[in-house]
Amino acid sequence: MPMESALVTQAKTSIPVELADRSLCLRADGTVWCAEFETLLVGDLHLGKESSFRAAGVPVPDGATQTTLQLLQAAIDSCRPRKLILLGDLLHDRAALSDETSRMFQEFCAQNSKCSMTLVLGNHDQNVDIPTAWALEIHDRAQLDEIELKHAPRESIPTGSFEIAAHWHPVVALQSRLEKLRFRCFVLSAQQLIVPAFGPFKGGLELQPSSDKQLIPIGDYNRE
Amino acid sequence: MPDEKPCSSKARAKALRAIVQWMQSVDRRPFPFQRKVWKAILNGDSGILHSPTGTGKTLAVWMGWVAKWMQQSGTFGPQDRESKAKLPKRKQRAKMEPIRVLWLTPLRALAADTRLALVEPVEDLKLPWSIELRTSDTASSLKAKQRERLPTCLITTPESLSLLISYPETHRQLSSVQMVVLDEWHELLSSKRGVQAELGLARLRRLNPGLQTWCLSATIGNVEEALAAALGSKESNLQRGHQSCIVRAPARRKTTIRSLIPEHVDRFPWAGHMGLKSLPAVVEAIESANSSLVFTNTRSQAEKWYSAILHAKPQWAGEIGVHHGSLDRKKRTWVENQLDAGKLKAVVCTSSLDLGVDFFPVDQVLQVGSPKGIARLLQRAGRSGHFPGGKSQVVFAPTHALELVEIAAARKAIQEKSIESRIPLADCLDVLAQHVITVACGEGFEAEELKAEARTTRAFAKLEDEQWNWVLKFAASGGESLKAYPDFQRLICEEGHYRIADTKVAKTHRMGIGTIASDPEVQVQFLKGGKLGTIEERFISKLKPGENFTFAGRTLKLVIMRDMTAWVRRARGAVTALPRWHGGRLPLSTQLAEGVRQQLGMARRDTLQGPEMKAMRPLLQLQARWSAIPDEHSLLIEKVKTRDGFHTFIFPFEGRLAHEGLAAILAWRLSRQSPITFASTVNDYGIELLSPVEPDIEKALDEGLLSTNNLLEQLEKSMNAAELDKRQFRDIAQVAGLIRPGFPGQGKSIKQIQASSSMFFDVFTQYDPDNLLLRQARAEVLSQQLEFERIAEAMNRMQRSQVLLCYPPKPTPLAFPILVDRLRMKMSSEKLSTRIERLTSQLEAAATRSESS
Repeated sequence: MPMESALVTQAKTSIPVELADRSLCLRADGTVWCAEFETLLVGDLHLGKESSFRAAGVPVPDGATQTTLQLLQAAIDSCRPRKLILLGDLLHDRAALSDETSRMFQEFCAQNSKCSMTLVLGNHDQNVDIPTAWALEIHDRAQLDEIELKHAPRESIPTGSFEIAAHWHPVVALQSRLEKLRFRCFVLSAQQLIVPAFGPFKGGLELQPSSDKQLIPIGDYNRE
Repeated sequence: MPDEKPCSSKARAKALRAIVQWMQSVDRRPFPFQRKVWKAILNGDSGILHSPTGTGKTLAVWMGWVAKWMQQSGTFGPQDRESKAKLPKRKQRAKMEPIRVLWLTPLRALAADTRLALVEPVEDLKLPWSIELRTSDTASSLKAKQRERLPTCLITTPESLSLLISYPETHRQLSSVQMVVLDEWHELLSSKRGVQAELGLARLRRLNPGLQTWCLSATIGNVEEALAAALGSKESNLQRGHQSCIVRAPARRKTTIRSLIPEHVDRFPWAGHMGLKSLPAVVEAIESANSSLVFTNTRSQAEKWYSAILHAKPQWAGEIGVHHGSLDRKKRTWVENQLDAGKLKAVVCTSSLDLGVDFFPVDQVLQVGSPKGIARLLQRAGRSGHFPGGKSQVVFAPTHALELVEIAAARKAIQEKSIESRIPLADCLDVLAQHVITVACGEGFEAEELKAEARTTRAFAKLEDEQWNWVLKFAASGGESLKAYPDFQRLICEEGHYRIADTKVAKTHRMGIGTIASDPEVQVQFLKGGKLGTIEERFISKLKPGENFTFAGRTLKLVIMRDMTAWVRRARGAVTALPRWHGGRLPLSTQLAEGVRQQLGMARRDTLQGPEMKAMRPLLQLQARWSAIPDEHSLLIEKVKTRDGFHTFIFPFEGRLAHEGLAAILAWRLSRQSPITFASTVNDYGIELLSPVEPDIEKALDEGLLSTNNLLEQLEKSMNAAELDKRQFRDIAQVAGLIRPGFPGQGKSIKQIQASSSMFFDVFTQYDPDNLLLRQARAEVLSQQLEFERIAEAMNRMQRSQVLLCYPPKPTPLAFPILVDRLRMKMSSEKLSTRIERLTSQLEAAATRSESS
């Protein structure tokens, strides 16, 4: 794959791609829409990260969790999925599950009761007791037809298999001698799609495009 | 011991005699300034003792304290300590005088040598005193003993003083402290560490109102202000009936400067800030003397020069050393000891060897690159001239030709005794917040009392109630917007008394005490075990295993990165990566900058004075032919087009910090005309604004590009646009405890609460915009980082200047060094989409080229 095609140069709100002959739609908000199965996929949410920091003695104001859920609600409102799959790291850690976080997510569930929700457990979710009231189906991995859904991407994938994963918080930098801009991005290769972290207050892992990996940046294109 | 205490004037005379006798017994004749200080200390006064280079400052205050103790205790002769020596060590410790003197030093590297100097008379006179260190290097077993009982004299740093305040056991003991010595006070003065020390001192004065404070300082332009910062507000001193005095110790010798002027000064100043061109001359100079200190301005430069010298003279292996703050303590101590023992021919160092004037004297001092300031040059010069009747000689090795102008200016300033001031900081709420939590960890506090105490310092004399309340809330519950969250509670208030919420919080707070913000660092260690020092994570993360780099004067191969440690082994090969350390680049001082403008002014009038300026003739001639030489009354602006884009060079000669601000504001004003993106680069002489399209400077000049109107308001706007406050916020976030520095061996639990300061900045800007730490970041950018006062003055000067707008065919000699510098800052008024399209089309073009080739 030539390198320049790794860059999406026109403003779009979504980009169609194919993985395992299934057509997927990479949305500008960082989610993935699979129309065929009416399924919406979303990466690391890290809900309650503010609470985790505060519990550890770092004073961080509230807001990021609420914004994250609002953004996710907007994605649901525009796609109207039958199924929502959370690709892990739903919560930042045990301390993230404060009363406030719990209440907000429960409200979110209630608002979207028609949509079934599945959580693929991430490393951050390991030691958290996820409230049963949230009515989440919880698995270590899931399937979207023949595509495997996991939290942590595998380094090499057996021939004939495909996966969609998250975990990396991938970011790409566009830079010249004059300037440098950073964007969250999707990482697409022949057998794998890695989705970016979702919502504010997240870090990122800067990646370089390579001949076998397309980096597809997303950003608020009209920001000044 | 006499049966009864003699009357005080008799005791005073006896005490003075006893210390003079001791001085004579070790072949030292008391200097008049030392006698002056002794008398002042016996009177109970505080003061500052300063000298331009000087020696004997340590003994001046220390023997004064010895005399004072003798007068108080009525003990004038050697004490019989034989019987005590038989006691078990623990009891022996208990028999010693309780803590009386705190000796604060800015560098823990100095502490051990200071101790040696203090111990000498105490042992000779057999005083029942213990003298110990407490720094981050101190063994934890000793720290535990100290917590139980502090030594008579504790040599420590401002950070460790805060730690002493943070433990109830040690806080209690501090009330017996009678004297504080602030060693190398000028070094602490204009930093947040100085503010931290001021708060610590206020605490000590509250515990003992009779506390005497003595500052030892290099000569600076504002000695009175330095003293005031140490002593706190006038009112509180008047209340305590406290007197203070200023004592000046004369310079030992004259300072002369000699430059290593190359035979041919290039018309283009040499590219690259390492400028090894004067290497042969430097090697020759080292050869001609028994011992030399080679001062460089940055750690990278020290590494580079050490390698280069060794490359030129391989036979000097083992005879020369390298010394800087990132090297392992053991490595540094080895170099110091070898130097002291006269076994090293030369040591390449940074400001790590600026201080500790009484130690490691050498024959000759070399300064590589710009001295940046006159006080600094004098201090470095003071390290030389060990032989009797010797002069302090500095040999100056320029790294690019324009630095010759600086040295000509410095020589003139030294003749005219024009020395820089060190301005103490004020209103650092992050430091205050940290201190409030520190006090809460110890004995706790009543809010009104602690506020009053903070106001006795110079730094917080103008602390407003609103600010104090915010700091208190921030310390207790994370600030205004967080108070509703039960999951965050740092301090508990019971009946008006604040204390720390729990021991876990106290423990994490103690780990983060300090005001030196640093980039995440990793340990560099041999696979076989030996530690070499620390290096910035962002540098090492760019290396792949198997790649070589230079550190601690060796070529190393990175084997693996694990647990915050870069494991390395020795390697061969010359071309390797050189680590860079960010931050800490000093700007040219105001005095020196003015001197440079004067020297250039003389050059414009065709009067070249001194060997340096004469050597610059060909360069200046080319500058005049292609463009112009600016003088004191003119501002040079050059417009040049290269394949990189359109360069606009502006030369205010105001130092790099002020230039960053000026660059931001000029770029912002230009960007108001039409959408444009600028990348700016600054050095100490000027600014480069680089843009992909041509800016209409001519029109902008007519429309008030250099106007002083709305300067502050526009600077704030341009700061936001250039995200300058975001950068400053990094330091503040660390001091205020938002960011935990990573430590080797830390578990994952800490990692989950780490976030970059830019993430915090975004979260605060969005969800808590009134946060005072944000406001402080803005204020600090203005006052410290950009030196707003200097910007305003410069703008005023530029507005009145005659503008020399030139269109040279190529970058001129003055512009060239900026062109090769790489500190870039962005300013854009274009839409993001435009920028993305440009970037992608450049990448596309590059990709196409690489395909077709």
